[in-house]
Amino acid sequence: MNRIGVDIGGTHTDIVVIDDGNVVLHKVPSNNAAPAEAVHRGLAEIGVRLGDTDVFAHGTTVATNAVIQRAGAQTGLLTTAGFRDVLQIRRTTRGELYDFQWDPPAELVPRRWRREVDERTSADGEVLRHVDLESAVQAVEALCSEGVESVAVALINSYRNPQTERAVRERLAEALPDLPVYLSSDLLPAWREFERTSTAVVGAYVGPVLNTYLRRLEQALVEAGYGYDLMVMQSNGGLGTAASAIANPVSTLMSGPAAGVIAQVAVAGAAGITDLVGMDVGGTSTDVSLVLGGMPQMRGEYDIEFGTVVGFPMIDIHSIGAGGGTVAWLDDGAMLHSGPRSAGAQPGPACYQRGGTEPTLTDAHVVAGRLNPDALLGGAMLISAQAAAAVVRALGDRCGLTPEAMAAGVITLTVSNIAAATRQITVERGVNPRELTLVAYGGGGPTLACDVASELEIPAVLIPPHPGLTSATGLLLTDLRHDFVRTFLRTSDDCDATEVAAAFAELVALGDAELEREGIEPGRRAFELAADLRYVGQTHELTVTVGTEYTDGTHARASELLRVEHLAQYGHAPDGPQLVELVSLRVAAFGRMVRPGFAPPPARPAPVPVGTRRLYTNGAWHEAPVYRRGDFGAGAHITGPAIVEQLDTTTVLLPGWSATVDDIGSLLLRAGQLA
Amino acid sequence: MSATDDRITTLDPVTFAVLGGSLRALVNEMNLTMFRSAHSPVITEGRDIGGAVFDANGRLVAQGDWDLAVFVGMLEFSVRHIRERYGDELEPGDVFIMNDPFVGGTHFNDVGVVRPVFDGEDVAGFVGIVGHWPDVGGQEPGSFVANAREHFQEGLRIPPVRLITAGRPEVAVYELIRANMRLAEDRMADLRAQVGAIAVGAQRLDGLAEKYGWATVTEGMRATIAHSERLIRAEIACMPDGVYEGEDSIDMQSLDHPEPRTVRVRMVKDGEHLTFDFSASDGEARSASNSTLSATSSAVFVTVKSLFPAVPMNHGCFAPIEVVAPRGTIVNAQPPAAISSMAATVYEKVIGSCLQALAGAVPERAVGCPYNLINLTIGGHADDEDYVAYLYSEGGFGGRATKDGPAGLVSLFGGGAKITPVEVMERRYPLRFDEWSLWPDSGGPGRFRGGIGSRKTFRLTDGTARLSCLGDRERFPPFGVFGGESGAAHGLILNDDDPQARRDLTLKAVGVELSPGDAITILAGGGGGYGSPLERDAQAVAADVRQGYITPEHAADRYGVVISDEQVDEAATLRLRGQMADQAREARS
Repeated sequence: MNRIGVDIGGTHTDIVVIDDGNVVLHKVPSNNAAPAEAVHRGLAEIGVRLGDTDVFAHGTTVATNAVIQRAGAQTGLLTTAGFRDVLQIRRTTRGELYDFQWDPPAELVPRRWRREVDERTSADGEVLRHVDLESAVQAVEALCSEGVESVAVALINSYRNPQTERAVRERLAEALPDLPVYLSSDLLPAWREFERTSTAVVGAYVGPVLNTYLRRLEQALVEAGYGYDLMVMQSNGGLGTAASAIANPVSTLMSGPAAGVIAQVAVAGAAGITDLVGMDVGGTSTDVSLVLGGMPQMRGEYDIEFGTVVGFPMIDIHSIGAGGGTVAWLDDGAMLHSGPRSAGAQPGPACYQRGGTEPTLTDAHVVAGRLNPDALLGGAMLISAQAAAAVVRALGDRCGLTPEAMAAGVITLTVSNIAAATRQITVERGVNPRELTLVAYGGGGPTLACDVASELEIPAVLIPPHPGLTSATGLLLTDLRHDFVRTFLRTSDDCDATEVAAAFAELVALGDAELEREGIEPGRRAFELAADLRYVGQTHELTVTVGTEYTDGTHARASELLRVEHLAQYGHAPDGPQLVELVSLRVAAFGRMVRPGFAPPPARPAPVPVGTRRLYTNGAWHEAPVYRRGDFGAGAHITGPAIVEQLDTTTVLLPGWSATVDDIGSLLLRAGQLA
Repeated sequence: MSATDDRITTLDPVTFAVLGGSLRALVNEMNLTMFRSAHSPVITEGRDIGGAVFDANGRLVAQGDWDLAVFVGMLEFSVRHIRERYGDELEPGDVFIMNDPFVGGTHFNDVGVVRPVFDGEDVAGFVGIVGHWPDVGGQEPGSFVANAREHFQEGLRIPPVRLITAGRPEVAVYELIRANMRLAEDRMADLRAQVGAIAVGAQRLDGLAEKYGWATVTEGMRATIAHSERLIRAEIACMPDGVYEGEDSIDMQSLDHPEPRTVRVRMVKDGEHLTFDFSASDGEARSASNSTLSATSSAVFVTVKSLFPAVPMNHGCFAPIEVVAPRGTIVNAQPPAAISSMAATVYEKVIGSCLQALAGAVPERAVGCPYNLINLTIGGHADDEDYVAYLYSEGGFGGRATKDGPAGLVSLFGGGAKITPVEVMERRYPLRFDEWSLWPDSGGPGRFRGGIGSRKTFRLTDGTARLSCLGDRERFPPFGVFGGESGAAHGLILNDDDPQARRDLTLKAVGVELSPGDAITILAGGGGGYGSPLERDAQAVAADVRQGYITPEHAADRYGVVISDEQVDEAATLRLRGQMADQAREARS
């Protein structure tokens, strides 16, 4: 049997097949009109049959794209009377502090399609006014007559008591059985009405699109002989079935990047590395993430764009506008900038000769000798070094710099921006980047890895075997995962361990049932408990890991658990015992999957350069040997300056750095004493 | 002329760009540290803070991405004061605290901490951060006293003093502050968070110096300022030279002194220079509706800057702008004048008068007046506990030359602040909200409509409470420009749904006693319109009716657009608009 991971992006469809420990990688152009067609084409090209497949795992950007391109379902919203505009008022923030011309992006539900129902639940969960279900049905019928295809229900204080939202859904299911209905208390049972409403609205907006897409893909897979559930990567780093993704569509928003983080954890783990910062450099952006003790750091909330927020436990990935297509430019005051504007895939960097006329990071790489001057993608894509030199020279003339110094400057500025973003995620958590390993991937990561590491004083860098296919690989290296949360809002002296344990048990039961539905046998189920705690008086809570059960001992130590976490996160914590509030309880339910091991690379003689290239760095040209990555066997060792080319990326080893190939084929880069 | 000929720095352009980015990143790191570890919801949820880095002369070099606008003015004045007052005595590890608007601040609630950073023996720069404390003592919980006669009623005034001397906390100063405020333990926690934040900032600035050397960092700071100055001068140079005037009034001084007070500005544009002369403004109010020189300057800078968003915010933006404000006027009040109403009254009128003056100079960038900040405080007792709850209101911004104004946003003063959610308010305080929504017909009619304001109603559910408010624009609503009409008048009403118990509290209310069941309605208007509403596309008016932004009656009354079955009645609209245009002509002649 084989297992297949497929990451479908806007430009490429990446395929990873693991068959009895053999890994086959493939990349084909995406077919945006019929995504499954590209999958079939790719599999046919490498001779893989779906009839032999027992896991097909998929990473998708469908949900995110639907929001950004406003291509989701026509969506309506039911709210508590008096709160129709929660979605539009948001948290009242302005996206630009000093700009009278600024506007927030349009809401996913226009005001006309936001209808109120007369009902009210108190902050304690008491139903003060019962809903008139018929009025809710009438409101939704009126919406449907205007073309609404999907509905979100978000009532005030439903995080505390979801019964009214559920009653509305039941009645709507009778009256309008084909209408998708998403409840805020299902998707995000947590306080703060805007965030919960926005989450439900995003769910309703992308749900039907995701449903159509996944059903079609599943159908195509079944027709080709696949006999199991289509698995989808979620933003929390775990797999879920297509059905669970459709039930909570916001779970897939960071599907692809999350898979990349999972893969980096696994690849680093094989090298014995558990504390790391990940850097995924793509064409238009760079994603950075933090992994401590082998665990990706998580976040509870994500802004898809300004003011469109979703709450879901997800891997904390910080994205900035720095990629291969990012444009370098001078403002009217002659200050140099890099990004956030990007030449994207079209027209792309000037060296692609598709009409790009502005200098990009990729052009700078070509001028500085970092990238092959003739062709990229292993020779599949011809480029023009002259075109790159022309645009970089033009910018350099305006800055008073030679073309090579200008190219190095653009790279330095990009590195500085990436380092600032990285520092932010580490400083936020009180971690010193110097104690971490940088894992660089994406098509552009290995090209900048030594520079970013030097800037952050990180002494070691890991480059996975296939940096450009990391996300697809990650799809096959994770477990099933489902997250459950419930608001608790009790102080530790106001409840006992038994009550808390009982509340956790309810969540565990939900997880158990979900895994049962997915056919995971009991022996492969595992549950991790966590609690969102805060000091009474604070409004921000911290998620504290509890372990596998909540005992009297846990209860007694609640204040201490929070103190340790608070100290780690903020660098200070109140002295002495403090009253702690248990804001929310969380359970992550895992269905353990058998993870394929990494096969060691075949033994090879010491690599021999296939040529040399002039590399400009530290203000001077260096003659750098050029290697092919495929020529490296385990234990191979080279020293910088050197360039390592492979199909999906180019690794630049700066002077003073050395590289060794580890047991699974990763390159481990180390900074020497002298730079 | 190529860029190489008019370089603003001796640094190479790459180092300069990298330093600029690092300085902004440094402030963001300070802010993150602050609002994730403070106790007050107005800081942690409301993000009512502002961090900044300054050069050795106390000039603003960079601020963060989310900071409250007004703090920009406050910090720069305070830091320069510390530089002058304590000059040679400054030591590494010193931390100053201050909230004195007469030195450089806004109101007493905005408490700043500042820390010098050293190059050997010499001061090389400063880092600072301001946070809004929910209470700083005084007559009313929340420290806002609209009818105060003297600032002594408004809480503790802290001139810049050392909180920490060379790393040693000044215990006496902490004790003094603690003894003069409500919920003092929470304030101590906020203060810890502030001190922690600037420690991070100082550490990062030192780190930059270690890497590049102080000479380079100092030159980077200077050039960052010079860069903004160059950009803003170029923008100013494009305006036609001349004298432009504007005026705007507060509704009343206080309930005891119900006569208005007026801010008058004469803007002189000469070459690359702008002077805002407020000499003709009324004298100090006999209430808390006063502004100080630093707050007035901040309002001027923020207004100009908002017309030219591309220029990075730092001292360079202020350099070609001169503010003239004689002592004793309402825009430069002197002790013991009360000032706690500044943000909601005079600050907004400085913005309003400047917007009027600037509209004449740059009509294509002009905007209708934005709504006026409303800040409500409820101090109460329930369940054996005291509490102080804060409620800002969001409103509409003015119509613009090519599009309608945005709806339901935090005020210009409020910058990056986030409103506290209803569910957090209801959980923490004995309050329950009946409504929190956009307020139809509140946007100023215009060819491009002002953004819609908001309306919210809540009730006290338990215990007793006293309510105080800061606000304005009940008599003088947000004005329109170039024929645009005003947004709705703001207001504060008790028990609006009960004719027997209904009372117009006004936005100057102080210490109103509330009982369980009492309902408070806050009306925050929309922005002023841009251009005549009779010129608004009738289809856009119909779309506003369909979305519920305006009522059909308002469409007919203000826009002359007759809506029938949610569609434009073309013939009736043509007739009505003709009549209204005739009436307008008659009125003019």
